[in-house]
Amino acid sequence: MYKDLADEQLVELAAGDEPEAFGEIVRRWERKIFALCFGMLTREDEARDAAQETFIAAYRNAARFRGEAKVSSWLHRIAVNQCLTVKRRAKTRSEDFLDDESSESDRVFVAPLRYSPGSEAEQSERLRVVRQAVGSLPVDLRQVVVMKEFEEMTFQEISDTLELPLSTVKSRLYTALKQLKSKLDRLPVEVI
Amino acid sequence: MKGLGTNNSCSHGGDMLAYLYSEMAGEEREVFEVHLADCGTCIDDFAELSQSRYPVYEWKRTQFDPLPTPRVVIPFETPGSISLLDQIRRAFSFRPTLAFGGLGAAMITVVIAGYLILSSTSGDTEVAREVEPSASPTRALVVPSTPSVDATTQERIEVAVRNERPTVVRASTSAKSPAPKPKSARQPKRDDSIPVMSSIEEEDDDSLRLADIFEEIGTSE
Repeated sequence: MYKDLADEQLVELAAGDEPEAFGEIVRRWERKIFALCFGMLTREDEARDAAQETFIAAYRNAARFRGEAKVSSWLHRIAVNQCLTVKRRAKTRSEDFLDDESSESDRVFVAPLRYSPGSEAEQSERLRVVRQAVGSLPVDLRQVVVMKEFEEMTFQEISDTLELPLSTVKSRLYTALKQLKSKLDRLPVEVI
Repeated sequence: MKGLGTNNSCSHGGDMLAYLYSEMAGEEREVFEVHLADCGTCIDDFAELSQSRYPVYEWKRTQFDPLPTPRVVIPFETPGSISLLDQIRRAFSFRPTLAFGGLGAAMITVVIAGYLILSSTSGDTEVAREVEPSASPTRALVVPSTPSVDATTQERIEVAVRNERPTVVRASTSAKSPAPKPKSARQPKRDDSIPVMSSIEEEDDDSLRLADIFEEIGTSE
């Protein structure tokens, strides 16, 4: 029903009498917002919480959306602010933890949340597409991606290994991620 | 990102990847976060990078991390595990010790051979030096003919020497003459009119003489 509508129309409907329209917004952007949160927080459980909070905040503020910016930018800003809030909270907790060791159990035994945005088949298909997209990158770009993501090397280590300037390494990774984004955006939302 | 982004002229852009991959120091990170909260361009750029990074991370976490670390086994060779083919290969393989040993042996052989050759050459030279002062063997064997002795006398001397031998030998000048004829055919009849030089000549000398020529001419006439 809402699949053919633009993001701005969906937000407008959600701000009006059709809150269900926001469900389509969540379906389209949940994974991307989650990825953004993961990029900022680097922990999956915190990123899931932050993504959840982002969409709740967006829904509550849908009436304030004026359409001056794209919905994506609007959501990104909410997500970044939400992540910064999470980080500030974590920092405060960490300082409290140093003052009061009794709160140790609250941090250590936090069970990771099992976030399942899609079925197992969808995930398998998604990973296949990602593999294909990474494999289609030029060798010099793919090399940096693999060294960074799979070997978990620092930029300086990659620079030393490849005997390339640090700026070149960052430039290649930046270009690689941009090309990956372009390749993955061509795929259906259900996959990505 | 500084110098990298196409849609970003933000001065804080250079820190984007360092922040994304948590390679930014604490204070610097806080400064960047303050900027990120207010910069829409950086937010969108960071979101794009995060959205393309996470699938790769998920791929690694889901399909790569569960893979068992391959057990690396280095095949250290033991003497019993060497196959026959490997033993043959090893026997013919290059060994520095054997190579240098062989080279040394070859050099020693060459030195010894050279010494022997040089010593034998110096011995010949000494013999030659010993022989050099005397006349050559050929020259020593040649008996110079006495100028005062004429050919006939010389021939007679030779005939006299030959008569001491049982066989008949022609004079040195007969080398150019044809093979000797049978004695019966060549022996002329004794003619008393021809003066006989000596009894020796008459009996045994079969050399060509003027008397024979005269006799042959007379017979033919």
